[in-house]
Amino acid sequence: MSDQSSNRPLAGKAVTYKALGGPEVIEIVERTVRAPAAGEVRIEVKAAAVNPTDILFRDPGFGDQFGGDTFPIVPGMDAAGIIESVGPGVSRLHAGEKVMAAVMPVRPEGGAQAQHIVVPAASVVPIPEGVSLAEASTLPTTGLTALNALEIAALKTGQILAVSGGAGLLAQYAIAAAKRRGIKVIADAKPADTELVRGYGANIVVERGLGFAKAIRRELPNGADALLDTAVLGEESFGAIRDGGIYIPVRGWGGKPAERGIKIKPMLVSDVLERTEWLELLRDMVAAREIKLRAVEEYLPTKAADAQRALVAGGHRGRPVIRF
Amino acid sequence: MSRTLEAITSPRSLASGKVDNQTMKAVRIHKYGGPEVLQSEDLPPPQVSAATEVLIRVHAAGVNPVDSAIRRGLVKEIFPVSLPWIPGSDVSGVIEEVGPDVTRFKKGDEVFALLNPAKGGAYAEYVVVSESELALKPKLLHHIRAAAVPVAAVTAWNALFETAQLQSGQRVLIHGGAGGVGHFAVQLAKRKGAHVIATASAKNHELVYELGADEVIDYQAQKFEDVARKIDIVLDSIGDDTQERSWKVLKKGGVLVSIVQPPSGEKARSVGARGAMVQSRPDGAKLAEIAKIIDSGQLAPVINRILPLSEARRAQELSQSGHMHGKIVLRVVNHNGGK
Repeated sequence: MSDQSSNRPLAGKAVTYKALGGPEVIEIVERTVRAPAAGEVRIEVKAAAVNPTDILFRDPGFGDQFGGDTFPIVPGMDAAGIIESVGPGVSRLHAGEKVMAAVMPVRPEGGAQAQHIVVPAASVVPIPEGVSLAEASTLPTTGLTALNALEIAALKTGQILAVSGGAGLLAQYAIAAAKRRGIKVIADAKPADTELVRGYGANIVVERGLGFAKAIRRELPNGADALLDTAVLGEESFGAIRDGGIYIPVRGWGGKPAERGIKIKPMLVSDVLERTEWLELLRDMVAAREIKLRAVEEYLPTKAADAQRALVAGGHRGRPVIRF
Repeated sequence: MSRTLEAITSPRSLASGKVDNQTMKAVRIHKYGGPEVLQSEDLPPPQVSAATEVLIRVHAAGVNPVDSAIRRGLVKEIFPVSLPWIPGSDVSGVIEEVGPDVTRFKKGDEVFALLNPAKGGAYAEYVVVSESELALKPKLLHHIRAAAVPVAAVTAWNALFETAQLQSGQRVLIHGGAGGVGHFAVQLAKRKGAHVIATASAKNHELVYELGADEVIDYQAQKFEDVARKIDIVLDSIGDDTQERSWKVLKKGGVLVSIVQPPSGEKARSVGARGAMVQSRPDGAKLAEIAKIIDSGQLAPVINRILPLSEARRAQELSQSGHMHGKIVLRVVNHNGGK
């Protein structure tokens, strides 16, 4: 049952976008956050990971999908922090517990990059042992996306999943999830990242940039059983997939059919943000060192624009995280 | 650069095809049968034809066991449908157009509704609904969650409060406490001050305790009738043998309410109890009351799976498979934020 003393709104800072546009639309505002309702918890956020999706939410090219009336919007899909209070009917989680949460930004309560957030308890689990809150914040939503891709691909033990953009965070988690299910992985990487991607668990790593489909076919003459296209290569990557195989785009799909009986199966991570058992699985995978969380680079909320720039620039500087 | 998380942001117009006023995506059946008779089709959207109707742009549609039962042709007498038929009685969306006599709602209102199952229509991008079936969507829920509420919550409400007249302090046994109707019933009965005993498979015990059950019985490990005694109200969402064995746990004067199978009057008389069958009926006023409880923070749906409309077959297969906790919802519009 909820603690009555915590039944009041709480004030705190939030990163917001006031409109579509460049980094200049980012503003730090003071807002109040309501008490958690049935099945919800309120979290005092300590760290919120920065993801490419955050940038899409203010991208004019993607903007119309949210409608003009949704601004200001609080970005962020991953939070880690301390439970401040729990709503009625929540007994699995307790005030004071260190947790991580997958967060849906397109909702009245907004996303993860805020000092306090209210989220469904189903999207929240304790952080893995032995990692910092900042590190834990890089796991939930990207991890859920990886598990969603594996569920959608529905491959059997011994079948082969191809992953484009093998060095990325989603690729890392998807490779780990595939390995756990006994699915073989072929991924691409820059020569400098080959060992890194092998370390994620990829069975075969091909060189990036030579033409993904061609590179995969050189290793697998019949093609892979499924392709998770984290690099957003699109149609040019279909050649990597066997006849009747599966293509999983990560940014939706225009409904255009593919060649040779390839089935296109888009996914929406918002469908799986409340898969608690998956969040627990991800935590276990970190504990078992099947997933090694990356180093992070912390930014103050006022430096959110810099954090996004650092993400776009890429490189090996550590995953940007907003520190509250 | 590593690209992650893009999955959430696919524009609706890309993911599901552009919708204009000429056609909409809908899932229909042309004959009774297995999940394979569910077909995705492009159809003309329905029109407001009565003065008290509204046209809803559907954002999400809840999946209920009755959808599959009708599809299989098992309940033709109770729910006579005319084929081809679009399933779906749970809907949450935005009002696109109102008939001239609609007074309580306007274009742009975010609403949810319980439709007559025989009429159906929610597995589509647009549906026409009578004003009396509608209520404003709970503010705390986005459309996906709101679409999980109407049929299951209203069924639980009717069973507990209208048919069984649940009073504070009574002992209630809820079969299938983690299921669609059951998980609302546990919350509503607890809120009313009942002593709630629920059955659930072991993996769902934590959930059912969280929802407020005082006792949870693993029906696979033990017979519920060995544990639950002196019950005032049994809520039966299972039927058959479970219903049969439920008579012996009831107090004299108790009530067995079933949502799946009419209880035998003879059995009821033999144990000095009452039996009744309950269904949900469209009732906008009741939905508004339920929305108020949700917005007060005291009641919430549990979502098991969210699937795109195009996966209606899989959604119904999962729904039929049993042992699913919470609700399955079809996502019709990709972004369910809203304000």
